[in-house]
Amino acid sequence: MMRGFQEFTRRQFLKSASGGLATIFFNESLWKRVASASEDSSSRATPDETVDQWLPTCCMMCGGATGMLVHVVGGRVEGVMPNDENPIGVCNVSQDYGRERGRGAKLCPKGNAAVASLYDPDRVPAPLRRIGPRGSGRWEAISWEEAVKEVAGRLREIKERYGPESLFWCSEDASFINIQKDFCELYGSPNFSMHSNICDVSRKLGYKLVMGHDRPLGDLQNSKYIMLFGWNPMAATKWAHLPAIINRARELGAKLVVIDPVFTHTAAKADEWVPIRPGTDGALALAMAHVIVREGLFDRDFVREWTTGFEEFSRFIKGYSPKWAEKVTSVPRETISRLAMELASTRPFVVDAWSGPGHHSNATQTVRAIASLPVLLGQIDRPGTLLFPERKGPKRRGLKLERPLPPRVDGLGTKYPFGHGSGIYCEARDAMLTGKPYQLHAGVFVFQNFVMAVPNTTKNVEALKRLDFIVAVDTLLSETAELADIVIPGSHFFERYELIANWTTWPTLALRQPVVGSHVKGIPEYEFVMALGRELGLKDKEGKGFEMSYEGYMDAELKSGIGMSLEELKGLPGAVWKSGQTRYEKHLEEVKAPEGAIIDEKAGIVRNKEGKTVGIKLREKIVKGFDTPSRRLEFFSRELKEAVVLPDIKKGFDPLPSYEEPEDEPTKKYPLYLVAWKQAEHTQGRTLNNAWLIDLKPDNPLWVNTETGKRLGLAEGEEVWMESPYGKARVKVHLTEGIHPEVVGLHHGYGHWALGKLAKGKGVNDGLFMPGKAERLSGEGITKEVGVRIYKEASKG
Amino acid sequence: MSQLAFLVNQYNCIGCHACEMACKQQWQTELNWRKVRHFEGGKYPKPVRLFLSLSCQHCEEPACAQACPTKRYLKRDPEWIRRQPWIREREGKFYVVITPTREEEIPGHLIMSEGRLLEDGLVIYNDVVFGKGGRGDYSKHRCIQCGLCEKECPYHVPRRNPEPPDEYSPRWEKCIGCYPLVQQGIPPACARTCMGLALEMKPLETLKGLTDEVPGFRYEGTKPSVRFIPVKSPLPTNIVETPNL
Ligand code: SF4
Ligand code: SF4
Repeated sequence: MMRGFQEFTRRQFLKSASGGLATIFFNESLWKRVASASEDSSSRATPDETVDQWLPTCCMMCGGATGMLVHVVGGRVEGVMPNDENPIGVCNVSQDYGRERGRGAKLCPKGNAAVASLYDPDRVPAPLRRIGPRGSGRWEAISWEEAVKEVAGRLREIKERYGPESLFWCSEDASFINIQKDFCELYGSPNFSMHSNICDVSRKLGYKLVMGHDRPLGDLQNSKYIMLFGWNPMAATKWAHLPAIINRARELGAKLVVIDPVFTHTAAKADEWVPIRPGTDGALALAMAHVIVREGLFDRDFVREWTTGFEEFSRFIKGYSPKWAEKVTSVPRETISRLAMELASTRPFVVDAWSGPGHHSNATQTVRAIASLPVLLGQIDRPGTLLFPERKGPKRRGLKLERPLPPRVDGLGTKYPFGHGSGIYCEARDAMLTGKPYQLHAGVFVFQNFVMAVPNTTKNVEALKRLDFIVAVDTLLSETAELADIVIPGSHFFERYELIANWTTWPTLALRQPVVGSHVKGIPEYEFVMALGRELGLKDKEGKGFEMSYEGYMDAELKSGIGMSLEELKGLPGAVWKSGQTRYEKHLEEVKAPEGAIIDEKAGIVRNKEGKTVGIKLREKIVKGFDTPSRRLEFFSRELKEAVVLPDIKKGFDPLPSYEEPEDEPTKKYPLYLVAWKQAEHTQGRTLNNAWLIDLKPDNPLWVNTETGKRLGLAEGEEVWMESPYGKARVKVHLTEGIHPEVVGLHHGYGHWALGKLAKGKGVNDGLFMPGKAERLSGEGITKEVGVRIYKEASKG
Repeated sequence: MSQLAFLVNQYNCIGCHACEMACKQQWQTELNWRKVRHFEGGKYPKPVRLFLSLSCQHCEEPACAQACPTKRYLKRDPEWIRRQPWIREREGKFYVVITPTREEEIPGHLIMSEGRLLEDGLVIYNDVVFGKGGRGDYSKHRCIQCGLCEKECPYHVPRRNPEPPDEYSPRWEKCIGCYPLVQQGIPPACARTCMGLALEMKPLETLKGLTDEVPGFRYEGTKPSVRFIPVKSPLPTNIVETPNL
């Protein structure tokens, strides 16, 4: 693909070549300079093959959607650079944005390597029909018309025979979600699911329960003290600005503390690495809260005015001493007390937790415990603390369904009253195997390599084999696509649209747009789903179906979301819409009491006619408060206390963030914890066939602490067996000082047996070793909790 | 302007390899001209990990330029150019004397702007012309594949491309300092994308007082144009280079 160097194109990058070149300057928007230099300076892709353009879009090498400019010459992508019109890549607070954009936006290695995925020779070239047994890898190419007819025919048949709920549909969470939801609803299946439930829904639920917002973002750049529980933002760089905003704070003297069993690249940048036993972060946080309460260091006024349940919490927290936590976490009690004191004496600070504690069986309660620290100290929604982002985005059209949807197969809303809208993959997978609560017959997998992504790989393969009909939409023949009956070629993000409500703290929205036509014989997958809907004649009561174009659909969503047309958005610099400023302490904003409001003077709570809390009475004013049921920050959750618990779930939910031991601890037979993490070079398992990226890191050896390795007689680079009760594989050992002695771990995403020539056979897949359970509150797949053993010879059982 | 230099901030560098990938996509190279190296040391629970992003040092006395029998390399420094017996100036044009009977004109826009010699000190090729499109015009290259540039460079920066894209391509390649961009005030691709705020290209004279050696890099007689901001904590003695693990 990178051939043909001899043809040098003497196009000038900027026509105004200046001779003096005094400085390399950063102060002018790169977008402006690039746009004015382009032969065609509009941000619209033109089909003209002779045009030389820089087109703005958003990256999709991961779900972060960092801003990007793409250089397209004669219909080919020649390069990329960061788009500083898009805050994603610059920073997440509007007040910093004006200043920082001049220093340039950022792109991560994956974004820079996007072109190698675009021209990946292993891309699915056309719709494929399987002609051998499942997994045989034998396919025939079919036309798009045939693909649509065949899939529609099978789905019609399955619906008639087994009912519409027998369709399971899952998707990546940043790709034409609304069209897919529409399709499922009109077809009659309740089982639309998304990636989030194997990502961060325990974090979301934990914060939601305490703070009433499920996606707080740290104002890291303006913080003086950053304490991260199992979060690796310097390497799991979901938004390319993350390392920059942390480093700006570090340069200004902020202290960075990383609590993690692994000496991650973030820990390597920290002032202090606190190694901890996996899954015990909650115990550490509770012990810190214990010290803060015992020593009277909490913010009394804030706690009195803005929290509920402090009395219960302060009684409850007495039981969680640093001495106790030392036993549980392996962190020395002096360290725990010192960290608590440091936190209590530094303002502003950010304490945050992500996928480390988030991928355990006790994750939601752990996140609640961690979230109670900034609540105690009043470090919320102020500059330099955790902020509550305001988001505005496309608005999904409403459908009027002929009949209500049947209950979901995965227990969302029943067994999981607090589960996330993205569903519960682990439960859906188990239902495929057990037929309970009902049997699934068809599965559609859109950019979801279900087999590799969901914990317990062996079970996943077995489960998918039980389905009568599988459709996979993907750019590569993943392990999941290998089991499919029909494979639909997915498009690279350079070939498709998306509207992206950014994860900044103020409302901004960016456009992902096709910058090149699909070089494989493809149409974007949303067109396929819409064609399928038309073929099946899916319509709601008012006749709304899939008659419009996808552009028309987006246009309508945009107009009802932010009052702007698609054309207008394309015309904005960098194709990014930005509105207003980051607002702080939004709980103090005054609101009007609705008609018939009831004011509970004693509790200081305002309710509407229906009894729902709508505000807080604060010194003669009515203010918004937080988005929890009590409008205050909740140490104690009445919702959890009152939740209806199904008879087959033994325990209820503790309204206080109590510490629960992880379910799948190491045992005598499997004595080591196994964890996994991300690095900047790869996005989960899906970038492994990118020639440039796999070349950066072709393997994921198992990290073993040097002392542990010595005890087990392991040598650097040696191949050994790793085994859990759920799977075993050969692994290569890397002895390091950078991991807790009771823990082994590896970079997640490797171990493919399909996906492409480059990915295949490289490294080990951690999902193979996992039990494959879901967290009991959030429903999140538990991807980092199991005991393993390591040995040299073949197992004797 | 005077010699440009890379400022590598090891305190900030997160080892993400974005710089390496940005360079690769910018010039669409088979080799990675920039490389991020990894180092580990220390003792649990206080290990140390370091990253070091390096490409060509654009030395003040480039050994590659002296070593190359066909004189493919050139330093954009008027004083240096005038010092080379193998570079001749005639009527405002410059020629490389390859053998007593063979001269090649140096394309004017490679070394001059508005009638004056450029003086950013970048070490570039005089037989390959790069454009923003990401590609170089290699068709007139003179590389005879002797590998002396790699051998003589104390850092062995020019590297052999075992799979050159076509018959026109030279086998030895290196960073060109993104001169077509830098010349226009645009930061080089690697520095522009650097996620850790760890890489910049700056006039060497503004980097006085900064260290020129870190673990894995020694200051050599070629006078490399690279300076470092080291990590702040004292380094353990057992630092070793590791692969990217
Ligand atoms: S200056 Fe340009 S050519 Fe050199 S390493 Fe950086 S990106 Fe590559
Ligand atoms: S892009 Fe910057 S932070 Fe990342 S490896 Fe290169 S120099 Fe280091």
